[in-house]
Amino acid sequence: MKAGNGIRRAAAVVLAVMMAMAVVPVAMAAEKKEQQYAFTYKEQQITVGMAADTALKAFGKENKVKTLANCADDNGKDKAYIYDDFEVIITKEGKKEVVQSIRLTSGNVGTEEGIKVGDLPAAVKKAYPDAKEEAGLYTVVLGDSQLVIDCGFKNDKVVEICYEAAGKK
Amino acid sequence: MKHLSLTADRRLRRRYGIVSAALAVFLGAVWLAQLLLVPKYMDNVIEGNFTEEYYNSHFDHELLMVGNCEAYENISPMKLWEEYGITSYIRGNSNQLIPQSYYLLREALRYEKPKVVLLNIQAMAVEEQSSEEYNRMVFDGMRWSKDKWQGIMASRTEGEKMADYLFPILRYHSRWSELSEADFSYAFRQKPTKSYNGYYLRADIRPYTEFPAERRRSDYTFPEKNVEYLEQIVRLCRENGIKLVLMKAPSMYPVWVDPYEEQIREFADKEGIYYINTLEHMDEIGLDMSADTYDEGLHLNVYGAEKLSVWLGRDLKERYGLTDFRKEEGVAVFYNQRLEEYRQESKEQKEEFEKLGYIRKYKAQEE
Repeated sequence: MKAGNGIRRAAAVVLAVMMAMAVVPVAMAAEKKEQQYAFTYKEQQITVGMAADTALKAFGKENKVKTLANCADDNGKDKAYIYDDFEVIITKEGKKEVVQSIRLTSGNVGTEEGIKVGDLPAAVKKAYPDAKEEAGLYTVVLGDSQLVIDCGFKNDKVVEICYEAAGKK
Repeated sequence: MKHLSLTADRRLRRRYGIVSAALAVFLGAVWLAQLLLVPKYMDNVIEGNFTEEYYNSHFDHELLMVGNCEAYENISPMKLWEEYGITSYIRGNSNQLIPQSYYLLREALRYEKPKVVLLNIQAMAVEEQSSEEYNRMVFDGMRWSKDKWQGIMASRTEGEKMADYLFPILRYHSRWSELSEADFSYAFRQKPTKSYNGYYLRADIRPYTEFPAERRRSDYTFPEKNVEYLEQIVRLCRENGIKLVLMKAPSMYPVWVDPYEEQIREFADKEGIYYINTLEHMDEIGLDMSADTYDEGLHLNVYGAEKLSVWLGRDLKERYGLTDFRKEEGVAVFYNQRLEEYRQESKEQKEEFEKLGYIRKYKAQEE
């Protein structure tokens, strides 16, 4: 009888460990997927891929809207919403409009890690030690997003910061 | 025994008959549904008709133009005809990729041998198709051939299946809830021609305004695949004794950056091909982007396209000795009729734009 209980207990422990092992990677993957670079504006976090109406509501009234797509199609038109310090590109994914990229164009706004237009490349390297540099472009990836910090051809100071989907060249 | 066998035979035949009839009814229903569900592109996105309209054109064009919207929205074959008697056609589609231009050109050469082929090269910078719907607009109207098959294979997006092209109902079965009047009207009858020898006519005006700069890239090298297909286009033209001209149309966006220009110039020089960057000739052409564009600088309207056509036609006629067909009755009848329709539509659009500030049929597309 006692031996039977022991086996049951051992089986329960093994089962619990196996379930935990199965659940942990899924949870980790979900957490990793949720992680991405966000542009914080007026205490609201805006990320690439989020619904356009939510993002645009947070940004307030734009200075100008410009249609960007070069070829006509119901699903092909991208729009640039231009503000004083940044530009937001909205695209269509199926029937949904989403944020495709956010470009910071002035030193009045910055990344959550404290980088803004006008900063030196040394500050970029310090804030993003994992950033890969090519032709003055510093790229750092987090989950599905990437941050591309342009220090110009001369690689002397930040001229633009772009939030976009990871992997974009 | 013989009687029994005959009865069984009859029963078997009857069963086959019922099954065959049911199958025929089913296939007929599928065919009818397919005719109804396939998009007709009659309401606002009329570009979906361009590939199939080519087959109804008067063949034997001396000038064949190929490319994406920078080709079919910026050059007017009707003006080329009116001004110089040049017979021309644009085989262009929305977001037409370089491989797609190659296969459409190769297919066109089954029907005709133009003297000159003009390729607009903006798509050299486009790595892959941004939406499957663009591919459908290129290929849905194309006749089945090796060119269509290989074209689809060369440019399909992830998840795009050949079966969906072979049996379009597989792709469009869910359109039943969005069917419009045009889907019913043109399910069983010929659609009217929407383009003017491949040209997309717009007579509205929206002055140029500056575009936001694009994010700088570390590498502007054209995708290898595009270069390979451009080389194939060069070979195809040479094999057929056709003069190839490369052109960058005067569209202001996407920005045609210096590294693109350098690569094309180098390629054209190496191959001994004539290359025109119209962005460098805006004043000479007479383009005024406060009046000659309908979408703030992305494309020319009919006024701008006519100016470019006059400038381009003169150059190509002198350079390649293109024939003036205006006195050849068989050709002139077709072109003059289309020219008349083109003038009429241009006038109607102009009046509508002056009255409303927009053109009704394109309004939904722009919103």
